[in-house]
Amino acid sequence: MTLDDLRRLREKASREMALRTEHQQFRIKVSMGTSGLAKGAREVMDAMLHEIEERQLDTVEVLITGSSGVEALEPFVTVEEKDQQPVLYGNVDVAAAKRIITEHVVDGQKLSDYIVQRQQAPKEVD
Amino acid sequence: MLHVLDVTMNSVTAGASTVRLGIHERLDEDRLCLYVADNGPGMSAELVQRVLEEFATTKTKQAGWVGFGLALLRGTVELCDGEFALQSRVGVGTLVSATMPHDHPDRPPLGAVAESLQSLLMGVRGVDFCFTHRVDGDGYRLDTRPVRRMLGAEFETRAVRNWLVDQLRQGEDALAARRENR
Repeated sequence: MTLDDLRRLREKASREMALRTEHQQFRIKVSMGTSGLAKGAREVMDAMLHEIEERQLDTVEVLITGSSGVEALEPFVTVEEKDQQPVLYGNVDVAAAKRIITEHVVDGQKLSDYIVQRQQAPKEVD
Repeated sequence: MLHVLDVTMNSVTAGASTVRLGIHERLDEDRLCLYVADNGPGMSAELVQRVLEEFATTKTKQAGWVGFGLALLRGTVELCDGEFALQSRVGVGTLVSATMPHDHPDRPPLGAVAESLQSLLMGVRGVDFCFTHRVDGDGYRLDTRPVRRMLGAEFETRAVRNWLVDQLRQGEDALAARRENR
């Protein structure tokens, strides 16, 4: 990496930080424990990152977490929106992952078919 | 690679700040070695025994979350006539290593290495990764620690994470090209 490369990268990162500090709207968490991975959590994560890059959604952050403890409903995706209650989606596949970005994040329409109700919600283990 | 990703997630959720991952392929010796080493809280000898039992889990914040991924990895290694080792010391860290015949028919393929590790680089905050992939003496290393030291808070941005993933892809592509030419 040259000094010019480093300077350009730093400038880009600084712009992103400024934007995120002022406008960050969504934080999305994908559960990636053993069961989640076996049921496609990595592909779910990749699909979300791809949609975010394609749409240049700079105010959306995607993180991964450990297992939820409820293997049957893995992979889980939690969408945290500023000033809103988090929404928990279960059994998320690649198609649903793309829809979470295009419908929930972009259009504000939650995916009712995938929402995990409170009584199904996994207990916190990490 | 799913096994490696799974074991690495154990390290991340247990609270490690640095995780070293390695894939060492010795085609000339028909040997594949994988390892994940972390500086997390470590485990007692009793806990090490427990996590190797299938479906055992500590499931508490205090002891660190460990699912059945280690038992699955050990099962795969044994199926391939390989050797599995788990060494851990409380307060020091944990090392998981797996060595097996490279060409064993039951060995799952490594798959797309860069794509598998992309999730870690993009989705984990506050943890450094040092990844090594070697094939018969050739290879590359990606270490996030010097990048974090140079960039400070800006390290935790998507721009930098994307750059790291690009470095990983370039490393894998160059390794594959050299392998092809041999």
